[in-house]
Formats: sequence, structure tokens, C-alpha cells
Amino acid sequence: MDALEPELEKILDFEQYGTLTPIAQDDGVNPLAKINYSKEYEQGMAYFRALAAKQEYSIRAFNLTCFLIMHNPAHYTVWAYRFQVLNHIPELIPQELAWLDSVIEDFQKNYQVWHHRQKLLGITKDYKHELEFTKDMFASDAKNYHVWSYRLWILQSFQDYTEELSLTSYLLEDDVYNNSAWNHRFYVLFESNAKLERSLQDELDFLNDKLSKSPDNQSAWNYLSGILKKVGPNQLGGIANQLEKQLPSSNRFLLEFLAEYDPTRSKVIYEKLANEVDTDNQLLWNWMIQQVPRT
Amino acid sequence: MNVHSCTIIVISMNLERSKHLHYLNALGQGQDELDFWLKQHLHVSAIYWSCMSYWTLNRKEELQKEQIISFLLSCLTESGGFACYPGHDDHITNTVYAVQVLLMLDSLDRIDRDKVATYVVSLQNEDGSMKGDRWGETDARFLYSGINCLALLGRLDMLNKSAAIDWILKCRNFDGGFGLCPGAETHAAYVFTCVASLAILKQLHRIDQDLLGWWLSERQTKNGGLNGRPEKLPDSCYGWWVLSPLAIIGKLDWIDRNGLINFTLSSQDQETGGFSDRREDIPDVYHTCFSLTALSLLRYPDLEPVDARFCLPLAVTKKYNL
Repeated sequence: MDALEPELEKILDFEQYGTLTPIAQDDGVNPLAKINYSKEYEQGMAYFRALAAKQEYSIRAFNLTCFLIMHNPAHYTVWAYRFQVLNHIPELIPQELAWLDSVIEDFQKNYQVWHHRQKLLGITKDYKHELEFTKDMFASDAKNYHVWSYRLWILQSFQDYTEELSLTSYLLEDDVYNNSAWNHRFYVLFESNAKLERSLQDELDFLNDKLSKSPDNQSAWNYLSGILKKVGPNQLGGIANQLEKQLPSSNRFLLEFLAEYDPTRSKVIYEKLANEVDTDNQLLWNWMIQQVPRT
Repeated sequence: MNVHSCTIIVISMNLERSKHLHYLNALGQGQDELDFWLKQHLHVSAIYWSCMSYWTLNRKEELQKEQIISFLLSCLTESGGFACYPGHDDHITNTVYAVQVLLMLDSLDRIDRDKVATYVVSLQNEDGSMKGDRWGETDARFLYSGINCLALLGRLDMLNKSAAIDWILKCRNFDGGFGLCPGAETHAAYVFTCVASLAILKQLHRIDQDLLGWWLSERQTKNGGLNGRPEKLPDSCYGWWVLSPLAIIGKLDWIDRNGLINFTLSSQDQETGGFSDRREDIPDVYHTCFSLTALSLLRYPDLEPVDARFCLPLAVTKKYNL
């Protein structure tokens, strides 16, 4: 925002609007909560409404949206107008990304900035830059839902999955409990049409390594359970045996997995969970015991 | 979920009803909430959250009915959708909030239902998903908003139901939960939107309810609060996002009730009233609404029962046969 300070004076020099008549805020009949505006924001919005009414997609309109967005980044009407200006004045597009980088730094969890970025990518098509950008964002928050959704959208739109395994491996080295990274990895390998060259056994070895280091890792156990549902039990004998050997028999995640993996053992395992290992969830385990088909 | 080793701070806490009412009344003045004046884009949402809060506290008679209706009608745009504030653009979230409030106030006859319904279905994409507005942002929240709204308007027949159901099921993940869109990480708020959508469309048989119930029960942390994804912090609003799908699939008892009540009550602001995301943070009307509705689902005494599918008073959805 500092870089714009000298510009702000220009934007707020409402004299420049000349004969344009600002449209005052209509708070509707008996507004339920009269909003106390700062004078500048109120004036800025009044001029914005005037520009929008005449559908003026100009530089001064563009600059005004910048000011308004910095005050209220969730104002979806203003964002939409800004994008319309970009469509009318494409010369503004190259700088837009740099501006957006700085806004996102301040408002990382705002839906509108990410949607705007996505629309911009639809024009520029420079998806490699955007993949790099999302990677940088993970450095400050590796679980930001917006960033992960955006990255997912890029992959689905441009179909380039080459970095995803190394990215998720790297993030899981850093934090083996990162549920977003586990989810992304599962999607790329087992749900997308990525067709990456990676054998199931290699992936199971990777998973085994992580589980032995973090045997209480909900996300990793969910991942294993997900693979079981995808490929069935036949190829999972190795990992099931290894985990059962390595981990204590009181590990409830291990027990849950084994019950799923080998239905002949389900009832006994759920009973152990209900009565010994996870008594707080007795209701849940008793329910599961009832679901086991009688043979 | 290791509730057994819960480090619950046993506070003999009550629900501070009069403080919350004071907090809600003060919102109208725009003085008690820091930077409330910036939240124009949340105005219609805030009206819904505060109406639900009053109603859940059994104080619906305090709602300034005519004032609320006039204001909402002034947010109606030419397109048939509602904006967040007069003079702003229409959006599906404001539309569902407005329709929910109008229904609560028995005033749906004040709008052209067909026109609003037509606006909503105009936002449905070919793949069954829904945009938030004409600019195209697509998210499971918007499809839920559309389904909820059409159901309240009695125009679910206008929706492309089979495409909507197919899209929701594509949002389902390997852990049994649902994300923002196909492939996105399971997140409790999206579990609510997708499961409630399926409930309204009578498609609950399409999901693995045991697996889903298990994932939801795993959201409870050591201090009794609920988080939205594994390894994240608990937040009082997840009381609603997690409990409502559990209620829908009939597994509310898979959560430790006392632990969660304690956590939720501890997020009350003892001075100003209202609820925040967790102890000692600043309260807001959003967390107030979802903490109260969560407590209602937990059968906390003397709270109005809530319909988990619509997040509306059960008395209202029963009255209108929803």
C-alpha cells in the first residue's frame, strides 16, 4: 500500500471528476443500522456509483476501485467493476498481477482476491507463474484453503500435474500432519486424470515411512483408508503386516484400519476399541459392531 | 478424538442470555462492533444471523418486523436477486438470507417468488454447480444457497436436480467428507452445505453415513471444541457446521456433548455479550448465531429448536411443510 501513497492524493482529488455528479448512498427506508462511514470512503463510493451508473470503464474508475478495495476487500461489486475495466483497457493487465500480489499479502483469506486472480489467469494463461505463486504462499500458510482451491483449479484447467508429487512431498517433510497436502496428493494420484508414473508400491512405501514416524496421524491413516477403498485389499497385505508389526496394538488408528482391511477381524477389533482402547467413542464402536454382517 | 483426556476447564458457566440480547440490540447502533461500518457487504447476512440469534433465544417478538422487511425489499435488484445493501449487486448468498428472514417473518408474499426463483436457477451451471453471481465464482456454498432458497420458495422443481446431485457427489472425498468443489479438501463447512443439500433433495441414501459420522466426530479436540479439518484449531462456529450434518444423519451422540457445551459457553464475551470464535477473542454476530444454534442442537435448555437442514427455527419449517 505504501507504493500507492503518492497516488492516493490523485485518486481522492474529487475535483477531477468535474461535472460527474456523485450518487449518495441510499440507505433504504429506515436503515436498520446506519453505517458510520469514513468521509473519504463514503465520497469514494458515491463517485463509484456515479461511474458505474454511466458504465464508465476508465483509468480514473480503475484507480478508484483500488482505493475502495484497500478499504473493503470483500466488496464484490467493486471487484467485478474493476475486472470490467481490465476487459476494456487490457494495457492495465500486466501491472494487475503485481498489484494483486500485494493485496493478497494483506488479505490472504478473502474470497474475492482469489476469484479475481483466477479470472485474470483466464486471460493471461500464464499458469506456471501462478503455480509458483501458490507455492510461495504455502511458505506462510501451508493450509490456506483458498490457495489450495486455486491451485486445484489451475491443475484442472491447464492439466499440468508434473510438480504435484514433489510439492506435496516437500510440504509433508515440513509438516507430516498437513491435511491439505495429503488431500491434494490423493486427488492427484487417485482421482485426477494426471496419469503420473508412480507405482502403488512406491506410494505405499512412502506412506509406511510417514506412518511409522507419526503413528497418530489422522490424515495419513485416512489416506491409507482411501487407497484401500480405491484399490481393494489385495495389494495392501505388505503394508498392513508391516504396520501391525511396527506399531503397538493399542494404536486405535491401526485397529480401525485393520478392521476395514480384514472384515473377518472387524467385530473383534471394534469390540476391543469399544471396551478397551477408545471407550470414549463406545457409542460409535457399538454401532459399527452392529453393522458387521453376520456370517 | 481423545475426549477422555480432555483438558476441559470446568467453568460453571451459564448461557448469558440477557448479555447476548444486549449485544444484539446494540448492533443496530453500529457502535459496539469495531469497523462495523466497513461491513456493508455483510449487511443482509448480519440481519439473518441476528434474527436467528433472537429467535433461538426465544425472543423473536423483539424483531422489528416491518423495518427489517422494508430494508430487505430495498435490497431487491432488477434481476430478482437480493444485494447486500441498497444499490449493490445481487448475489445468491444475500438472496437466500433475505428469503430465510422473510419466511421467518411470515412475509414471503411481499416478493414475487417466481421472479426470485428464476434468478436463482439462472445461476446454475450446466454441470449442476451454482455461481454466486453473474461473475462466475462457483462453490458448494452457492449450490446449497440455491437449493435452500428454492425449497423455501416452493420452486425446487425449477432446479436441474440430477445435475446438482451428481455435482455434489463429485465433491465427496476419500475420507467421506465434502469440499468446496470436486477435489477440494474436506472441510466441515462444506460438509454442512453438501449434506444439507442432499437432505433437502432427499438423497441421503447416496452417502456413506458411518464414514461421514466418524470424520465429523473426529473434529472434537482435547478441549471439547470442534475444528473444521484435522490439526486445525477449534472454533465455536464449527459447533454448527459439524453438528448439523451429524444431526441430519442421526449421529449427534457421537460427539461429547458436555465437552462441546463447555467450549461454546467459554467463547461468550462476559462483558459485552455475544460469542467469539474461542475464549477471549472479539465477539461477532456470525459466531453468536452459530454458537446459539449449536447449543440448540445440543438440546441446551430453553432454546428454540433449529432445523439442521435449513438453519431455520423448526417451528418455521414445520409450519411451511418443508
